[in-house]
Amino acid sequence: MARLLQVNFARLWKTKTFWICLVLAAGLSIASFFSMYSMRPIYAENIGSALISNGSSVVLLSSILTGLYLGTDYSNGTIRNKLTVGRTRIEIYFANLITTAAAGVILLASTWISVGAVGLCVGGKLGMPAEKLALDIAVCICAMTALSAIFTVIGMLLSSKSTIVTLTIIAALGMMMSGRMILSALAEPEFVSSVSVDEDGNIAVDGQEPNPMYVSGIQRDVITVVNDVLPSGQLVQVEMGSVHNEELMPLYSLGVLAVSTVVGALVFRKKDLK
Amino acid sequence: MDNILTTRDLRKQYHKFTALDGLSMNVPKGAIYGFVGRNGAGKTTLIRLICGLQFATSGTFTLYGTESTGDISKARRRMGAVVETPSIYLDMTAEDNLKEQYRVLGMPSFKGIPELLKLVGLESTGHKKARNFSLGMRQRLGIAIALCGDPDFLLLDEPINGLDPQGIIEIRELILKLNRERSITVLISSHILDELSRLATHYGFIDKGRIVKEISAEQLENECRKCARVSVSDTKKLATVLDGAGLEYAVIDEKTADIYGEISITKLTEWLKTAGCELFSINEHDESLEAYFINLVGGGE
Repeated sequence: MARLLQVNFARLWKTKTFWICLVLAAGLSIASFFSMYSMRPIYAENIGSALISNGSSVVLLSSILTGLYLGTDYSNGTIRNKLTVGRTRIEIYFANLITTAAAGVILLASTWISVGAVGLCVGGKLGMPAEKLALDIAVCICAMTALSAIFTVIGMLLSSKSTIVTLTIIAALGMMMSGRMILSALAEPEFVSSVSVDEDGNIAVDGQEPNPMYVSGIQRDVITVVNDVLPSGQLVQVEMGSVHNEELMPLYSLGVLAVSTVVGALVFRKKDLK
Repeated sequence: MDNILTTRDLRKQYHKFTALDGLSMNVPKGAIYGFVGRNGAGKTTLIRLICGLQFATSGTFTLYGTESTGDISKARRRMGAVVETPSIYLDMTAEDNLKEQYRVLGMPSFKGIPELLKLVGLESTGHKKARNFSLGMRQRLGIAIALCGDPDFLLLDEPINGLDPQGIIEIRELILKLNRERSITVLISSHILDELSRLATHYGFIDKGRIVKEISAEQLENECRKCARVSVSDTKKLATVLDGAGLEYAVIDEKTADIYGEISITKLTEWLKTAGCELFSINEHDESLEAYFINLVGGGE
């Protein structure tokens, strides 16, 4: 498998899309930092939060890169060159998984390095304990790896480049959007203030009443677990700074990685290729 | 080991469609094995099974003496293939494509690449990306990739499809060179039978997923019937004459026909004169590979 990894990384360095995604990831994170900094210069006091606030854009870029990278092997037929000379399907699958996961983490790292660099240039401060930042970064790395595993399943089990790219993008957008929707639903308060306006236009607060948007009971427990388990939900929580169960998140990501890889590798092992 | 590849009762079913229906064949060592069949006869399916791209529904094959049910991966390392279209990275140069394949094979250095590029006539392509190559150049690059591991068995699926006459000649010469100078056994599938007949030392005729006949080029030559190709003013009148004489014939067009069996030219000339048909020329002619194939599998279907 070391040989296939060598092949994959040599190709990754030569892939224009990789470098474009890398520049975009770094550029967007710098732009996002300066946009916040120009509105609130105090933003520079909390560089730690800024560092980990670009997960969503990186996931989208990673889905495009993974789709194009894996799809090219099918569209050019080059996957046949590996099988024909006796490379096993499992080797090919794992080498592709490691490469796409590494590419995703490199994209993430480019945002940390660029935001860290511009943050230092404007005299920013970390603004959070180093241990907390290290844990956030570990959660991001594990979540990115698990998401890459999901994109790899799509990329290895479908054979059309355009379908692969479309589905990886849809999966990335769908997962990130659902993560945000769940987080915003969970953030709804249980009670809201009831307000009334009299004939003279005076506003009076009548008291508290139950919020119809509040998710309660088993439904709340289920979507909380789903958002903790899904790597996209983890990234959104880290990005928004409202994380709970953070210590368990790398384990959840590991579980998603294991399940998707086992399913993907087993199906790919029996897949008829053209 | 006399045969590099032997298949036994190979079957491949795609839902309700049977692509291979108990195919058994033998590719002798050192041969250029012409794999002949109509579109959809199962040629590409067989090549895909040998290359490990697909799995047989039942049956086995042996490659270099290794059963397909055993550790076939090792045996595949001695093989190269171009299946359908050449498998190349279009955004890379010829040299970079070969480097990729060298890495796949775990070759210790790239020093064989210039020689390979020269062998396939791509040594002067420099920084040109493969997407800007002609079809013939891509095909030759595909063959060069297949040759990276110094294989002694090469599978080529329709390698001359879509090529211009010059491209066809280049590929033909390359295949002959590989077979003669490097002793590479070649299995080549094609439906351009005239071209195949210039290359093949052995033939396997496939129809509806089964091998109908395996034969060496030498045997084929002996089995091909001799005929006289005649050029006349009206083949309808010729047909009437030949029917009357009880001779077997095949009309090629309005003015040409092949007459099989022993014929007396004097008598034929007399009969045609009587029927009011003019005889322009008559030549001894061998039955073509195409005619042999049509006779074998039936042309009407």
